[in-house]
Amino acid sequence: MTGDPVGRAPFVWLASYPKSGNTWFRAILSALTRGEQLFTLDELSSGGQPFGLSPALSLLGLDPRWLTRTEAERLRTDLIVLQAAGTEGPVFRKTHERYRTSPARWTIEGGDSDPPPPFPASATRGAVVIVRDPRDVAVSLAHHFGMSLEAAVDRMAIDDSQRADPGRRLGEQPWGSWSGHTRSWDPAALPFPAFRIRYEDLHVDPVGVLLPALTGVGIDVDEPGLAAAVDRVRMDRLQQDEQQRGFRERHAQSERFFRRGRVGGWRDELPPHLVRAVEADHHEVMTELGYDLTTDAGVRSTTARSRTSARRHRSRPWHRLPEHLGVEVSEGEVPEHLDGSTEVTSWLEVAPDGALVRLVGGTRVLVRDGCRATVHIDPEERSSGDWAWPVQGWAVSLAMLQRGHLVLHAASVECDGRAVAIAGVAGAGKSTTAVGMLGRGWRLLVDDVTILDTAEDGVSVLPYLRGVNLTADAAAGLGLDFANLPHLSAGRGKAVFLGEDPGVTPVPLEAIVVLRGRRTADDVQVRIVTGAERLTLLRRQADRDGAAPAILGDATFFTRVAALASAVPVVEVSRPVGQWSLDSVLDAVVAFSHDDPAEGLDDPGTD
Amino acid sequence: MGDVPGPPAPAPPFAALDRSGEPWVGTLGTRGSLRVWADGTWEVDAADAETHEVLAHGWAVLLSHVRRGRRILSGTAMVPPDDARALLLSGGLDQQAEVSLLLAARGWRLLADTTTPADLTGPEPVVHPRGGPWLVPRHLALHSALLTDARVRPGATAQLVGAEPVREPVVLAAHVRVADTALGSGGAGAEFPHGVVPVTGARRMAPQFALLHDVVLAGIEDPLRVMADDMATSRIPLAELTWPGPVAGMDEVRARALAGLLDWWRETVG
Repeated sequence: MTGDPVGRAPFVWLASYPKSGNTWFRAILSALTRGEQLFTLDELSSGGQPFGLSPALSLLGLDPRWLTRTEAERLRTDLIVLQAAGTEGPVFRKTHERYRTSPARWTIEGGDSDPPPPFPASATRGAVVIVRDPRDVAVSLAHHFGMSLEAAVDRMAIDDSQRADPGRRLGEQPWGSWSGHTRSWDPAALPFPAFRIRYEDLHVDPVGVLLPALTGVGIDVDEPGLAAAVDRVRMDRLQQDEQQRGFRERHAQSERFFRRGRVGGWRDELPPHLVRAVEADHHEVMTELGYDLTTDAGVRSTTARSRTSARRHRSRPWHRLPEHLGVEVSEGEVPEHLDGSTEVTSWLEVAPDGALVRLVGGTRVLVRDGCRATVHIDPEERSSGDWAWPVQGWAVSLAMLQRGHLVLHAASVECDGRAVAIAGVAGAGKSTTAVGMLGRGWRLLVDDVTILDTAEDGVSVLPYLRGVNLTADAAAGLGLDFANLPHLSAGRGKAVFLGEDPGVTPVPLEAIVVLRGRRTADDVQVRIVTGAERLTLLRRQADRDGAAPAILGDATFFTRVAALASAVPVVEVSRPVGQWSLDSVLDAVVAFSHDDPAEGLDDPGTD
Repeated sequence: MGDVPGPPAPAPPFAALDRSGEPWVGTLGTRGSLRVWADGTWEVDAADAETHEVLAHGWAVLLSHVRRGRRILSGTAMVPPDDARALLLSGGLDQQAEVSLLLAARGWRLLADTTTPADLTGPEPVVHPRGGPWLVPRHLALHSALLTDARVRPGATAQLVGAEPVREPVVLAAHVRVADTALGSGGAGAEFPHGVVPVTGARRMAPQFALLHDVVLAGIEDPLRVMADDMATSRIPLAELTWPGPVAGMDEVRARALAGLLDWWRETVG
């Protein structure tokens, strides 16, 4: 609803995503009402957001720290209505929250079927909505909250809510994503008169932009008066005021609130990969609002895919393995050595009651009973997060071996209900090949740790969701935006790609592909592996640095590998070293795993 | 505005306070109600023991102070060992909680947390015990042996502190506004520590004014009256204490900042 006659309710919501010019607008309002009188920045807080302890104490004498979240949401609405009852409008009230008709997570938090409206109609006269180019918002947000530009761009893409904490404030304060926030305050969809202003237009013609919005919500103002107010709060004057008197809305993490207020400053300050990220995340709304894009649809699609993966990766706690694996991981004390253990390698010990891995960097993993892993994280490793990936791999591998499974050092992919394991030594290209198969319509079941379930009717792969570490070249070859994937710590040169959850259902293993680099090869070669060589090759892929025979016992390990060799065909795919011919490798894998897996090749079986 | 329709009627409130008669009557949905008389006596009717706690400690005790003519200051009052004067800590709730917990570890005792009843009519401001348990926000960056890890009630987020508060009113001797910094969180904030910086002149106005919570409840409609009450707190020393932001592992920095506060207290008040 835009421009309809305003009602008698007092509050005009001054709505914007943070760092979009809200405070500048309030400064103009303050200058309007105070004329040439002394103006201090701290007085702008009169338009404060509708939460916090103070209104509850001022109006009711009630300490909201005693309330539950749903009670606090009800109280918030009460307080707005109570304040409105004693107020002669129009009065502007700042908010960075997205517009909604009921509290975020109301039902999840135990709320009933009668949710309190966060912006009650009985108190609302209208809204003035300020929007700003999200690329400039990202830069300003980073400075304001003392966060990295990457973190600011990520924050602007998150559509969830900030958790409510009645110990600090009343109710949820969900900003939503920049796009979600902007759409929620669409004047055409709001149930009260609303006026949308672009920050950029405000810079060009402040009086021309503000006059209709202010008069539209019932503010009595003329053009000369508004022009004087605008001049009073020029950015240099606001900065001077803040310098001399301070400003309470300055965030603890920033040096000053009023920084530059520039239009288009992102061109100098936002790196190209973050420009791509913002445009991938918000291009639809940006286009609707008339902001020019610098990327084409193809680039945005690549970036969007990478950012989706990054969000999925960051939302997963490192210690929470998929439930169906039945392995609990916790942080705790782990000894340097296990009593009565056999030292399999310099970093791996196996004892009757557990297995211990000492990772590079000082992190240690102890796995017991096939279901419990305890991790000691070296303090210097903690910030890098690099330990999470090997921890997840070793905790699962060792637990599964303790439960009697065979575990291949291989990625696995699936198509039409059949799985192919892609094995090979480190650097052979397992992960790249596996992710490349996604582009051929296959599904990634797991990277690096292929858990095998052997039954009378065949061998199955137990899938689980796990990130794939990729180099920049591999990412580019797979159509991913490497710069927008989460990176391992400096110097590793790899980033993590997390695909879709493969589910929990075991998938029959159709074939095993062993990748190999050959210096003498000119092109990709495919060879069926048979007989004793097949057994030897599989033993190497299943050995897990000696952990498998040590835990299963030599005899059991050999029996399991032999059973696998007789049940599943194996093919070796060789590629020239130094030339990464992914398409040819993918062709070979696909050809081998089609209905006639040995098309053009002989598979004499295993002796 | 001519013939435009009025706003729709609001839904019945969850929390309401009727101050039109005697006693004041507060209601919390259908869960319970309270009555508070002019002499500060009060009674609570609650559907269950949990609601009784909310109404009594979260509401009635504060209204009781207001009805006895006391103002409600936005701050935590702490009393040093072997002293009968209080220090008021204002600022963010996390910062108030952290500083007060560290003071408590050095023998200081709580008089009132977060909201401090005060008598501002005499020659010196006097602050009163608030009553009820000591609460602090959960998820503090600070570890303290006094934290019980028990929530004030199921579904609420404040946690209880296991320490015995002061039971008698004392003179308010000083006010410190605790301001956090960007230290340790990668921000662009100023170097730490500034230590304790006395606040004087016009810069006192904002932190003093922010102390007054109960303007409406106290029936104050005249802004000059607020300023007059505010003058009562303007006679006591005021300082700003810079404090690390909400980052764990800054215990040494916190200890240095606290030492600065204690030095300032001794030099200014003690």
